[in-house]
Amino acid sequence: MLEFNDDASRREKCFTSLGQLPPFIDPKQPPTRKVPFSAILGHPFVHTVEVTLPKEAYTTIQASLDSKLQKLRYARVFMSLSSLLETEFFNTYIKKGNILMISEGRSGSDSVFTLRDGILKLELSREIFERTGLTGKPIRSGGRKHAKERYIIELNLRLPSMLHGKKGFKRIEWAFQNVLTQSVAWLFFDLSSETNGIADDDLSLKGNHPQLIPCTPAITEHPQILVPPLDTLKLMDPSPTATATTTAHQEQLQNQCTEISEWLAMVSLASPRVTAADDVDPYLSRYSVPDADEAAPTDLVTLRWRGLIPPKWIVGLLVHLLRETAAGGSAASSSAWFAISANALGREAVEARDGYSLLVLPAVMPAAPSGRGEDDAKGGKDAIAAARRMGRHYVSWEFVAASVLQ
Amino acid sequence: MSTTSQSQPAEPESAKRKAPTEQTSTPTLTFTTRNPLWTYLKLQLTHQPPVSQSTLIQPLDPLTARTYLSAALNQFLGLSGTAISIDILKIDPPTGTNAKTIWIRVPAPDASAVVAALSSWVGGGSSSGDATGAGNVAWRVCAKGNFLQALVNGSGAEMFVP
Repeated sequence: MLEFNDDASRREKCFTSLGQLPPFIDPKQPPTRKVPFSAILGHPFVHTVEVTLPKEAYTTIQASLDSKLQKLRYARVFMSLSSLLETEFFNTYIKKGNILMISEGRSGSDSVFTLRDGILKLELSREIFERTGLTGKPIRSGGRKHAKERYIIELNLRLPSMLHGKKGFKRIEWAFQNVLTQSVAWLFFDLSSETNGIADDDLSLKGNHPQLIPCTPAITEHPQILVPPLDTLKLMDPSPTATATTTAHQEQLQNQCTEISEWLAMVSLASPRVTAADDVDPYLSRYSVPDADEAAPTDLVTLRWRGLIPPKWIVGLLVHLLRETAAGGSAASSSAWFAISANALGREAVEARDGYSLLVLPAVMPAAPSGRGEDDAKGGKDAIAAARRMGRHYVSWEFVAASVLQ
Repeated sequence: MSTTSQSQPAEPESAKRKAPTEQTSTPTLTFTTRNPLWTYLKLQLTHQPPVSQSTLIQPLDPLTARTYLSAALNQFLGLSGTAISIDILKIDPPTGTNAKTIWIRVPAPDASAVVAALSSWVGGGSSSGDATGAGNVAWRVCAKGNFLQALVNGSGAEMFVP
């Protein structure tokens, strides 16, 4: 309306997918390529994970969450790049071990370093890049005006040639000792399976004096939240006769997905607008819960983990929640939906991946058993078995390029 | 080459054939949303010094916030500015790190106008009565995005600060 150019807004996207999860997921070997899993694994550094679910479901799975879910802790450590290459740290954590590290700074203006799978990435401005004398490549600037060209250097420190005394390695050492000398704050997470983020026998990270931070969930209760009907998000079987209506149906579905995503965010924001008791004046807000007339007030619980959280743990969390809320499981009921959302750390300056969220709908129970006798009990078991053979419906959103400043 | 490819396929073929019978799931539907209806803003009300302690700890109520927003839009865009619809989604409690932070949503096409109006506005706190304690106020835009879920938890930059 007001002819203001909004370049940043045009870049923003949300990739939504609706579908069914596989009926069985092996906790030891979860899928990696399919949609909700690819979204989780596509965000290697995550600073907040949030789980939203009805309180009724939470109380039944609370104990198992506490006991079975891997405890997390991470470290904040001040290190210079050259201390990464010191023999002991280098051999233990980079050559033999597997760690996640990310440095402070904002991509696009500061020097930012990340370390993952033994690959050290350095994002640098042109001046610093040229002084290091290492090979790198320019990163795309998205055609932004007045933004200087920036470069990325990728060093695979696990290559056999990356050894103290080798020629190429000496150049890296030189650059770290003479150009990139400043000490920066890093977040550190050890991915070895037996540790919970920091190895117990090395709490000092080879003499680097880290600050160890346990990562426990903050539990927030949201009483009497209007929950819109979620069943309508299920993808129906595409029947050949209904081709004319499918496009209209899809458009409606798209709008619904956007609205539900907004609603989930409102819940995690703890906004009073989604509570059943809210009676705000339309002058102040005209937000309403989608399908408010069919929405039922329910108590919800949000669990929020904050810290450096590896994607593998989030997959574990998802598998755990799926198993606990599965049909016939301890928390099975028509309200046993849950949502996981995560926000990414260290977003790139251009088209950054901001995070994702995933809504898993309750397991389908065909023909609810009334429980009036043995026949019904048997029928119930069959129904549970049948329901388990069906995958759970899910909706996943991946957000790209929001302009968060703080 | 051909002989090896003929002798081998027994296993992968059967695995392939199995798959469709097991899969009762409907195909995945994916789509990209580029132009949603709303844009979300996280704003912080800042007080310009001199300001008394009582003004700082006074909670921000929705009506005052709405008045400040309207004043900013009116100053920059006049009547058409005040016509931009604003929904106040949440006002954070006055204490803590998010002091006087509010979350609003505006129609996406108007978002850049709203940001321009809010960031250029300085309001007089003295209009509320006492000229002694209340200094001027201004809005700071903390976050802007078309998808609220991408914004709610911030950027995580504070985790690096000990």
